[in-house]
Amino acid sequence: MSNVIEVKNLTKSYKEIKALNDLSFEVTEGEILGLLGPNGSGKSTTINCILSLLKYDEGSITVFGKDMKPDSYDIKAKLGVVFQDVAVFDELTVYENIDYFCGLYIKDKATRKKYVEEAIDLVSLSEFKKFYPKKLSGGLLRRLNIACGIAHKPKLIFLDEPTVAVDPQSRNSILEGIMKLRDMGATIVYTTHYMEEVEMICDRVIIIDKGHVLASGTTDELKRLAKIDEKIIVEANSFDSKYIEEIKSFKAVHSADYKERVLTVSYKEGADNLVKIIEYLKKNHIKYSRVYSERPTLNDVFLELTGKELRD
Amino acid sequence: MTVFKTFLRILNKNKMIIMLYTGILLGFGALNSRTTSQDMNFSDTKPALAIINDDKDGELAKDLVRYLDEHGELTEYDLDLSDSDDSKVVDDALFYRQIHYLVYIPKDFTARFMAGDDVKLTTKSTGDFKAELSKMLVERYMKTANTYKNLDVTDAGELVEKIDKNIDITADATITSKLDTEALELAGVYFNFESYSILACLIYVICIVMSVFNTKKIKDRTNISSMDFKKHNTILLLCNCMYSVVAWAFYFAFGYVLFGKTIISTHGMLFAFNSFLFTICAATIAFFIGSIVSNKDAIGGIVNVVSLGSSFLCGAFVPATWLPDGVLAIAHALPTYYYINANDRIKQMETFDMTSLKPVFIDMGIVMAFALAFVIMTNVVSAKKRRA
Amino acid sequence: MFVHNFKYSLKALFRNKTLIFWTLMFPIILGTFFKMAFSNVTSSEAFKAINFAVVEDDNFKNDEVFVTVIKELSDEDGDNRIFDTTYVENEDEAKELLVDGKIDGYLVMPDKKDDTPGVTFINNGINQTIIKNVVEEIALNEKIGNEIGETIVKDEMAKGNFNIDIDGIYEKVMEKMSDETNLLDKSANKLDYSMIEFYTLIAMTCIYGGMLSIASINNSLANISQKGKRVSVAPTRKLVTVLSSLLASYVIQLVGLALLFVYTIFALNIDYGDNIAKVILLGAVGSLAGLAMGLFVGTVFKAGENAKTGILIAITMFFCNFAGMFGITMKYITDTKMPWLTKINPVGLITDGLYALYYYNTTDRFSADIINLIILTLVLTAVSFFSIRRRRYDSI
Repeated sequence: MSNVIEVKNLTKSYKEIKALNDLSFEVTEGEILGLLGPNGSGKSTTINCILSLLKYDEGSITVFGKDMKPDSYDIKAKLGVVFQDVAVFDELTVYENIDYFCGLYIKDKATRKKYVEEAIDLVSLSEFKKFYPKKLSGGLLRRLNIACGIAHKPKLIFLDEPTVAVDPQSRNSILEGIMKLRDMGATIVYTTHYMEEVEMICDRVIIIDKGHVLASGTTDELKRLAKIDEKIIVEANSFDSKYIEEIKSFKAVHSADYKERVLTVSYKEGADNLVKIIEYLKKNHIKYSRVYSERPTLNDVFLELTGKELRD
Repeated sequence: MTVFKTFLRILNKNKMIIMLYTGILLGFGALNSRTTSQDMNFSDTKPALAIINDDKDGELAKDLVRYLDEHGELTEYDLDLSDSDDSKVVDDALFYRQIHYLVYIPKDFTARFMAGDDVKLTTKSTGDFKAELSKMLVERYMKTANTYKNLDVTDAGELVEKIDKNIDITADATITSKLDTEALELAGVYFNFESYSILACLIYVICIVMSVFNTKKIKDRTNISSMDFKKHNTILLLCNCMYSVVAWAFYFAFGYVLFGKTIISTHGMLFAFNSFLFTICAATIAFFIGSIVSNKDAIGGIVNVVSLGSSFLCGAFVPATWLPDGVLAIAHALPTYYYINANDRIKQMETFDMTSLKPVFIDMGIVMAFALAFVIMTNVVSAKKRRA
Repeated sequence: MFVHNFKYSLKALFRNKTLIFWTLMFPIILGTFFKMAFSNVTSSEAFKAINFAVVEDDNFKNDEVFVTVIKELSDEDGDNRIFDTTYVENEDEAKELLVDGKIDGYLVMPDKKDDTPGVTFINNGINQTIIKNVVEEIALNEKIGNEIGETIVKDEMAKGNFNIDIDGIYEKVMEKMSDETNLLDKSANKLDYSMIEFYTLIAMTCIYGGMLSIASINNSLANISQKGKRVSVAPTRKLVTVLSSLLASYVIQLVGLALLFVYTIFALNIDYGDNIAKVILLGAVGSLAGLAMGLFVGTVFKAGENAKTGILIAITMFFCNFAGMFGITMKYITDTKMPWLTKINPVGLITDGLYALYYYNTTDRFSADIINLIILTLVLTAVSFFSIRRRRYDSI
């Protein structure tokens, strides 16, 4: 599997702030790569640099094995982009919009017509072909936005936070559509700050913060970085601090926190942690409303790596 | 307070373009007041004309030249009209209004005239008033010459003698005004021009600011907030007026730089006060337009139609006396008309008593009434829009 | 790609109703205003009688010539009316009328017959100059007439005829008084003040087409619109995008120009002379320059949408001013003292070309203006193109 994108030591500063700080990563063919990071971490900046829209100070970017420049038309022909903000003509209908943007890549009319129809089907906008963007709801607009970006069947697709402010139904269909695209042979770079989506569709994840790669790997690999194996949540109205200290001293426990009526106990390892804690609670007659077990999330990974939460 | 602060922030964000606009419009005002009046100023009674004399020895020709030189501002050209280059020099001079009238005295004019030939003086004219004055001068001379010839005078010298006895008659003109008419005229042009520039500037700037407040999302938020929309409107209006006053102050300061003492005279102060009131009215007009127009693409066209159009129709560029009655009737429906009318009165004011000031105050009052009307209209429109 | 982008640029522009309306309609609206404002200026027949007063003292009453002539000139039903005359008993009354603004000036006849009549004004203007000239003319003719009359009487008396037939003498005097002026007018076509404004209006319309090209190019610029980002990422050459958008704007602009011509010629009865084909050519080339100007402002200035529109409007007004729209004198000053400004001022070039057609016999000046416009267009387009080619931004 060759590398579709290779980013090496990418650095970009805005005045004194380093937006990108020695950023390096690769994207392999046929994968869905997630770029995960909080707001302001440099995700969009990275994408815009790869697309040759933004200047950068140091580093190199190759796409499909060649240097990426503003006039790399052969590379551009194989790219598809869906930006965060909706980018469509208010004066053109749904069909005309998709046709226009597809036409920037596909010259042959017959092929283009076919592709446009397929794109409309992919995002389920067939009923709205003749509608103007002003008449579409937020979710439908996003679908249009996506259709405009992928109608020409690109080999490499960038999606920059495509599900922000989208209703759950549309979001699911968008995520499914993206997986369909991958199955049809495209490589996808997907940026987001929603870890649930990343866990759902990404083959590999890169966590970035302050313009630098913190960690990369599959979801499971990353979760192992969290240094915790399991989390047990106890919801109780009150919890005596002496018990918290005791729990903290358990062998397998990494940390225990009681905040806002929820006790979170993180375990480094162990198989029967849930049983053991329930027994402990019973023994000490501690009242609780709920107890459940959780696998660590990417947020935990991020927290471990940076001390911050992903979503602020 | 928040509305005010936001307004200031929007202004600040757009400050480059606002300054550019204000600067250009003020600049025009200054430039135009310096240049326009040259063509419209009739305070010289001596018209500018030119002569080409190919009959240099002829007595009649010589006398005609003398007469024109005395009663006009005569330039004598040594050119050959049959030569196309020389002819172009004359045409250009006429075109650029360096001369308004040209008289060409052909060879042997005197001799042929005395002999009774139908010899003609070729003339070229710009056709404007100054040219007409020159033409009258020449006609007067020639009519007199022909009259005396009809009396069977055969000698050129004798003819000239007879002509000269009477031709230099001038009426004894007394001008009672002690005003520095030229300075006041220029100041009048400057302030009249302001009707265009202030209106254009305010409409443009205020529309930019209002378009921000009127973006759907912000408007919706404002509508559901607890602030009474009338109060909101009032604050916005006051903000706009505040900006307008600043613009007015610049214009006034510029005027001081240009006209110095004329501005701080009573005339100047009256001009300034009049323009201040008009500026407020312009602010209300701009505010009204800003509340009904939200499309940025329309702003370019609207700015020009409203400001240029009203200024033209009300006599800012073409003196009101030259406007046809139909146009003046329409002009009466525009506040600009009353502003310019007041300016013209101020320009000619000799004394500052109640009789001369009253009509000016009435005009000013009408301008303020317009302002009030626009404020009311704005509130009505925005109330309607809220319910829509 | 070119046709594809052209087709859609045209569609998008055309459906932007507000932009189209204002860009096409406002010259028509303004033209109507101009026509209304200027319809009187050129017709010298539209003449309001001048308010005038005469001190009807003995000095006046005894001067028959003045009495008769002024009566004739004040006659409401007469052909020669120029005065609306009020007769007052003394100078104080006349002064009052003058101060009240009811008259433009008054006449006082001198005590001694040979002295010149006196006219009094507050300040000097057209009407006052006319009054002065008329009074002088009457006085002159009176003197000459008297002289001729005296001569005739002397002759008659010398012949021994002592019966002085006053009417007869009067007739003889009138015969001798000549109206002949020996003037032959060879003026070139006179340029009305209003025509100048219309020419500036045509020029302004051409330049305002720049709004269309700014709107068009904004769609292709990554830092202005999201669509621009898409276009920048696509494998289309910038030159193709720019030129096809420009062409789309040009088509619409030409439609607008055609509308303006049709309207001004048929509805407003403006006469463009015999050179209508050349005028249209000038308009077409001028529009191109206007579009190039819009393109230039849209690409070279790194500012937001609003700011760029504002800059274009400001630049347009700047150029209109120096082309003479607010006062023809500005054009003269520019041409004589700053000719380089006219060379780069598209509004000035267009208006100048229009004058040249109307005023001069040769087409040299006209051709020079056309060539200048074409050069301006090419330079502006080239600069715009090079500034967006291979452009990467610092931030978007």
